[in-house]
Amino acid sequence: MKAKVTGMLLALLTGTAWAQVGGLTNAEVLEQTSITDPGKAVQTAQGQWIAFSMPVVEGTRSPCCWHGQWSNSREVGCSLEKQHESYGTSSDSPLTENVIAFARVTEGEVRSLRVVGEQCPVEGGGARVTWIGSVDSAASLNWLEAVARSNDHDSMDYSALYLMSLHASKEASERLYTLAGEPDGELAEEAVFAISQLPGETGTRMLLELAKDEQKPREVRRQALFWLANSDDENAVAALADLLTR
Amino acid sequence: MKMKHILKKIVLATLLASTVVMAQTPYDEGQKALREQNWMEAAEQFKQAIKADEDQADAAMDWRAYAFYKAGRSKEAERQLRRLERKYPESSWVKEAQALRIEHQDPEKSIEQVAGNGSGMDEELRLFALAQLMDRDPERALPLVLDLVRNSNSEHVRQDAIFVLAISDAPEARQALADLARDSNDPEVQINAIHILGTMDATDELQSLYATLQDREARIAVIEALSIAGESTMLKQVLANETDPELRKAAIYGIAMEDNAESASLLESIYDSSTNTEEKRAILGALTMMDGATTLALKILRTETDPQLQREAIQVLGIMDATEELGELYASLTDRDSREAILEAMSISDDSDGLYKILQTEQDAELRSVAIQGLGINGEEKAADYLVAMYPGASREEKSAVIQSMMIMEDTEGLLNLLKQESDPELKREMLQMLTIMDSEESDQYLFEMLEKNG
Repeated sequence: MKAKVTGMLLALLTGTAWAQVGGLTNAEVLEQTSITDPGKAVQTAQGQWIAFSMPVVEGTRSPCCWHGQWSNSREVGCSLEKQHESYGTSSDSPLTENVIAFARVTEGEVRSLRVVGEQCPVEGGGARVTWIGSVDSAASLNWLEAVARSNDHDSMDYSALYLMSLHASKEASERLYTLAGEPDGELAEEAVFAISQLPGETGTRMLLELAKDEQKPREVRRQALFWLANSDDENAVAALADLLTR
Repeated sequence: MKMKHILKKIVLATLLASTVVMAQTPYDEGQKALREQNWMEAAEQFKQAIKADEDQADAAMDWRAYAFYKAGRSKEAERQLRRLERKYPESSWVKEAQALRIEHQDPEKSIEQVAGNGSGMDEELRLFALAQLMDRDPERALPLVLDLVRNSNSEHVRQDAIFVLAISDAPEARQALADLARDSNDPEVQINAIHILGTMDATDELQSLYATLQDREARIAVIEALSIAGESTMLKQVLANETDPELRKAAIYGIAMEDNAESASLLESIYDSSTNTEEKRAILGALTMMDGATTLALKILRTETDPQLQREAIQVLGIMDATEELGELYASLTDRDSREAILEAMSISDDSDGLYKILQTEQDAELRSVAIQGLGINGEEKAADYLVAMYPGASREEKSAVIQSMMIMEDTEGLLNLLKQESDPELKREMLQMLTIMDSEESDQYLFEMLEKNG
């Protein structure tokens, strides 16, 4: 009993403890829930990875990794170290209220970013993971935007933009809209795609605005039209057809 | 280097011709004087140009030296070149100057420079010098050229050195090429040398080479070279005796390049006796290189039983622009696969009239769709009007084909007109997808204007 109380006290004093992180297995998890800003966690990360939980918009399906293609594909779970054949959601994926973000940190900089649903199994490969739990909404948005802006258009900035499109805060979509107007063409195009992934009618509305905006670069407007035409939302297609033929 | 040098002069000469009326600067006046072969006047004008325009001073120096050489004043030319090298050592004109010097200096001096490489000449310049020397003193120049062929680290220089051998009239150069073709350690040099022997009609050397070479790629190169030289007897021997499919294929193409009744007859007999699909396919491909092989392609189509080869024979007719024959075939062949292949062949041969004609009578929706897509691929101006006009009465499948064809033709306006008429949400979606997939600035502009007008 005495040992247990001592352990709890130590955990409170140091702010660290063991914890379960989504579906993560085979990892050395260190808990530091006193930090709520992922940016600060990156600066002080003690492990190879930091992980946090982020609330997502209603109706979000749990993203995970898949094996196989098309009708033969099946959800198998992700790995922190390995690339998978495919990643994403299907109409059968369970709904989730939070996603878990894993960011690999090397020399104080984010080198990789993975986003999975809470139910998605993740093979840690023995990695050390600093778990900071739930994060502050504004701080997480700031951090995601900074990650998206800071990279050389690899998969990481797309992951950051994708995470922004899932973000429960309404401000996230506005930030994506701003990024879609950036002079950096690739960042802007990826932001347009992220907007197309926004749930509900927000994405459709923003894509229509982007397409109509004479001030936006041609490629951004083209991308907006393309994603409208290829949207799963029947209203988006109808609205575009109406606008073009009115 | 020589070509570059000559090209530069051609370009300058062309520029000269177009700026005669406008010539104002001393540099322009110098070029005008060169064109008029007024060498000393040119030298004087370039002297003024050197003083007047620092940006063009290096070029003017080179041209002044050229003018001096042409006027027979080599020493003044040489002095001018030295000044250029001293004052503008980094200028691109320095290399031109060195080439100019080599072109006009004593061959003995060039040989010494190239052999010793003591004057800082790079390989490209050495080769330029050697090209000059091959005509004057081939006995001494040849070993130096061969040294570059064998030992240069630059693929470009090695191949150019072979070319220097090829343009020489010296018998030693021809023998050197034959030696390289026979036993060069560098496969690319060897194959290039073999091909060059073909352009020199060196059939005796090529025939003896074929008998001695073991390497398949080199033997294929010999067959190609024999074909370039128009030596069909040996090609026939290859076909009579060789079993290696790749060698036979090369010989088949060589025979087809002859393009006469005899070669067509030979290919026909090989096709008839062959049981090898790949060889038959090679013969069909070779027929596309011949002008008068339509009859043979039709005969193969009639007698061939393999459906895939039949289809390829139809494609060959398309490549041959055998539009009349394809039209007749469509009427006589009733199986769908053949008809589809004929429609595709009509598209290959840009036979829109044939496709319109078929659309008037064909009832099969799938074949009609193939014909519609063919019209889109051909991209005739009137095709868009035709497709828009047929759209309202078209089947669902045909409508999809029309939409795809309009996309292929990048007809944004036409697609938007169809979008206005259409009420089926799926077809509307297809149209929007096609409209937004077109990577055309004109199309984008049109869409943006519509959005701005209606938004």
